[in-house]
Amino acid sequence: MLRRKLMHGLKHLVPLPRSIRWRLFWLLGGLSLVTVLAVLALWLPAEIREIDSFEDELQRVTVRSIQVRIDHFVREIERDLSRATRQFHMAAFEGDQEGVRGVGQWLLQQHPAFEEVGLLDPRGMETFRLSRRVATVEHVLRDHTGTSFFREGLRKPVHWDRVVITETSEPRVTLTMRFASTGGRVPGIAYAVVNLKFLWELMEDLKVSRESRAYVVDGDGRLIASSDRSLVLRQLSFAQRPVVNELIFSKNPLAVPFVHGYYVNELGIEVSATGMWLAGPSWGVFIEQPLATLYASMWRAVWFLLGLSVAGVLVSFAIAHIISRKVAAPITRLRQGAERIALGQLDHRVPAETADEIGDLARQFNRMSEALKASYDGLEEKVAARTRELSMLYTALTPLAGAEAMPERFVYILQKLISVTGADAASIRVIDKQTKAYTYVAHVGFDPQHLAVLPRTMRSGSSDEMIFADGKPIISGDILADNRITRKRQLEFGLKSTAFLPLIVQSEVRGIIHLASRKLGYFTDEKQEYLMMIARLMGIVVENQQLLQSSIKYAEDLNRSNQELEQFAYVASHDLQEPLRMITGYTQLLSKRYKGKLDQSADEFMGFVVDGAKRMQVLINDLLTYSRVGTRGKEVAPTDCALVLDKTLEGLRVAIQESGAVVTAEPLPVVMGDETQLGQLFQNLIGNAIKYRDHEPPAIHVSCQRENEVWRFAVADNGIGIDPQHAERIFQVFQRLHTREEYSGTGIGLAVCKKIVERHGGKIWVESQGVKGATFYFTLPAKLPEVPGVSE
Amino acid sequence: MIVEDNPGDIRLMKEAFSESGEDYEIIEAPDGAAAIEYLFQRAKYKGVDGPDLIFLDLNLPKRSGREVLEEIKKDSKLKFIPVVIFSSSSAPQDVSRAYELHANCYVTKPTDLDELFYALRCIEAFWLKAVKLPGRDL
Repeated sequence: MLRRKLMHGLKHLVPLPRSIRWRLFWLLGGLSLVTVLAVLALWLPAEIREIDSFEDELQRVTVRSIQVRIDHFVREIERDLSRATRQFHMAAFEGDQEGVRGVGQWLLQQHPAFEEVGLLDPRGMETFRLSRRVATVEHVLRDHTGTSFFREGLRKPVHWDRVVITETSEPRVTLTMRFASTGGRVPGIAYAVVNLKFLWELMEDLKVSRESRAYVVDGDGRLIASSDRSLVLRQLSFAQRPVVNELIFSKNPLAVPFVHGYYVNELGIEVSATGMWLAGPSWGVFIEQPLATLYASMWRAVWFLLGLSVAGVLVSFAIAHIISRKVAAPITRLRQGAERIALGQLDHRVPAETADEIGDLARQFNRMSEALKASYDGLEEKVAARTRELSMLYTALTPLAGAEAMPERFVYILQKLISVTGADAASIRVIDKQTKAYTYVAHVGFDPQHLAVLPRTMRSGSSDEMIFADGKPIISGDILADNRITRKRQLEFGLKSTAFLPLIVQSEVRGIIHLASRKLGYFTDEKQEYLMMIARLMGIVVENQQLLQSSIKYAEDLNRSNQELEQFAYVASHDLQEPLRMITGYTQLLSKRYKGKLDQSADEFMGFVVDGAKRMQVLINDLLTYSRVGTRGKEVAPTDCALVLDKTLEGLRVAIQESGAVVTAEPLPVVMGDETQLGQLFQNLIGNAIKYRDHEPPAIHVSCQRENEVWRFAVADNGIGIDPQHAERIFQVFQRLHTREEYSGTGIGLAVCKKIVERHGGKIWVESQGVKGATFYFTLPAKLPEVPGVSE
Repeated sequence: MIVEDNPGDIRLMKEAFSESGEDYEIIEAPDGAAAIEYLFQRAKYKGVDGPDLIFLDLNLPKRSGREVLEEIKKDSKLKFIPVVIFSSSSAPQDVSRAYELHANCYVTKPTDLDELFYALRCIEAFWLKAVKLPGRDL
């Protein structure tokens, strides 16, 4: 779980390389990096230890050499004093004062470190003293009874006393040696004061390096010699330093060859120190080196190693880069090749340069793409062939939108179908669902004798029944061997392969398309999709035909019913005239012959009969006019509305004069229209405008405006107006707003106007405030036929 | 001769002619077939005299006025008899069709009695009195 999370995190952090090349690169580079790190991890600590021990060794050697030098000095001093002591003993025994002085002078000449030399008697009294600083011997001989060097000098044959350091003088140490005892009694001791300044010079000479220092401490840890004199003069004690402490307080300092340790020196520098015991005077010799200096070389080594490693890693990554590129390049080329092939560049070839596996792969790849190209070319040919077939089929089926008779059309289709599918014979049969009887819509290519035996009904258990049941085709390459086909009469006429396809019309199997071939195995299931497509197309053709037929029939029915209706209206009104005329005629004849011979009521009654009959006459005439707009209209032709208006006004001249009307008109356009009917339109509208006037003389204005695809005509008057709530009603047949006493008329005029305008493809409406004036608008299509010279 | 299926119309026409004062012999044919039998002197009409003027209605039983008109105008002798189409229709196509078939004139039957009488008087004055026709001796 955790690991997966980690991997997930890593993937987010470092996207895993996808290409082989980068994987290879990271593999090789990473490998070298890991190697280098491993080597470093193993080698570096060892190297550090090595350097460390080397430095230790160096310190030991150095301290040893210092020790040797000091030891050599100590031995020299001891040897000189030892020789002088024997001489002193002899001379003193003989009482030769001059001899003693001579020995003393000899000793002082032996080593510059000797500052003073003297002899003490067993009581501690000084018997002789010679000082380098005080040239004479005539001085007060001192009593040394209380001094430590007298006490210790009596006990030990050789004794190095405590080093004396004062702030003003150089450090000194007193060395004593006993005279050889005679008879268990010590005759005296010789002493010498040794200036340790010599040690200082030694220290300075023995500097290990610039930063390292050597120093000497006495048995108490006090500093007695150092390369830095000032330290000594400050009378420092180094007893607290661990290494010093370890050395001087060990039980047997001689058993400890070296001590080694670390401390922070008086300058605050961390140092590494090594010390040795100096046997004679019981001193410790030390050398200290700053750790910084010490480790500097180590760090140099480490940095060098790390630098080397980094360089090595970089070099390995560079190599990895080159190798991965070299290895991956052919693979990349293969991939690019595959991409180009995928894009359809089938001619692309991958260079196979090498003889290795990748080269093999490239060669295989090229062979594959060649094979692909070959199969693709084949495919293209197949697609092209299929496309040709389809376009032929399409060409064959396209002309079916017309209205030719069905059987001829389907014979033509089947001929095309045969040429497209390569079949030898084809038929389409449609089933009657009730009787199961087949009707052959068309057949092509069948032997006449075969035609006679083609199935006339759908038998149960036949292959056809299966097709009607599930809508799936039956395609047989070998009729003889196909047990789905129970009726094998086709074989008698040399047809060996067949396809029965469902003719699906409006999602229902309505018939069978039968294709047959003389070639064995001609129709196979491989062609099923193609054949079914043809079947579907045929179904669509039949469906379209049916739709076309039914829509034609519908339009014809509608037209006929319209015509019948208009004919009815016409004939009805026409035939109604006859009895009406009888009524009016004979009533009039009656009133003419018998007026005054009957009583007055009889005359009035006859008057009503005549009036009613006359009005009915008018109504029938109006109805006739109305129905004639549809039935007796002329063909539309370009008509100049201005001329039509002029003629109309001419016809209305009497009415205009009587009413005192003023008719004004703006320029009017040429439109496609029936001149007579347009005249009727203007006449009705202007006639109405004159008729429905109030006390004022009528003022009528005719105008026209272009509105997009139509002309909008307006006939405005100053008459009695129309209540807007009647704006629709007035255009209906026999709708009147006024009594006959107010305004005469049957209410047909505006209905006729509406019918005329609608017949011309326009609209008519009225706008009026209902009090004063009304404007009738109507539109007529502005489009004129594009025949030059007609509209102009 | 009046070819008319409506007896009311025939009676009114007769009334009109009686008012004119002239004593015309008026032959009545109630349908187209009868008119043709009479004019072509078939069956019982053998040897009858041809009319001087024919009033022909268009809407007739058996054979229409148009057929009768066509037969008359196809015949070499009969075609000279003036035929007045006397119809209640004022439809333009009826009028033009009648003239195409060589009707001598087309008169819409007036609804008003006075107008009817006036129209008939005019026809009488013109076709029976003013016009000169072949084979007619006045």
